[in-house]
Amino acid sequence: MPRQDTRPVNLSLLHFRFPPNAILSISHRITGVLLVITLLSWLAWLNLSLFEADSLNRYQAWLSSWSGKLFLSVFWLALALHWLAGVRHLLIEFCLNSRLKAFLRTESAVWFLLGLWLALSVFALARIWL
Amino acid sequence: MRLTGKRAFIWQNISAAYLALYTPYLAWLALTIKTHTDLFTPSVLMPSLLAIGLLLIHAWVGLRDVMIDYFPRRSLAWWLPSLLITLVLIALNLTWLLLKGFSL
Repeated sequence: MPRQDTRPVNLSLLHFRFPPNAILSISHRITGVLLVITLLSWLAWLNLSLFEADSLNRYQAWLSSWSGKLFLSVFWLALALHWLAGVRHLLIEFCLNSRLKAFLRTESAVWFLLGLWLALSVFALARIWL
Repeated sequence: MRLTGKRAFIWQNISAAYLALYTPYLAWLALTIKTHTDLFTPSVLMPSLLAIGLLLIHAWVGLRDVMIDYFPRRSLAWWLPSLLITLVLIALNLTWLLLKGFSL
């Protein structure tokens, strides 16, 4: 159906400049969806392991392969970001300390959180790949 | 099942609070656990089962919010029930896996 109004529409996201809070918010959603996808593949493997006795060994071998390590990296990095952003959400919503609450809403808090995520990511990637 | 905004918010936050505590425990388990049989001890199994139950609720509200915000309005009439049915099937599948696991 053709559009009725004549206002210009710009759907190119690259033309917008988003504040760090907005980027964190959408990252929280994206990592949430990624976690659902990775958890579903774990569920599929659990089901397989009951039908094939050998699947546990094959699964462990796969986790040591390039694609298995990539899968683990996606899961742990997504979980770390989702957890950090989620804890921030919970504290903003329910923390009684108003100074901490005010800090968590600032851009500095988002950069601090991303710094924490980077540190956790380096640790997780080192554990998975080295 | 009809989930209003307020109830969805409450369930999302109850499950988030538990999962926020469970996630560091999961990371610690991943770093320290030696064999798969360690996963079936009560101290690991009980908090993990509660986490899985709350995770299903958390995923239901989270995916429902994503669908409501980004999917075309008309298609929600079948996307949302499909999501709920999928999650119920996953819950049944997990229960079956658990019963099967215990009987091994």
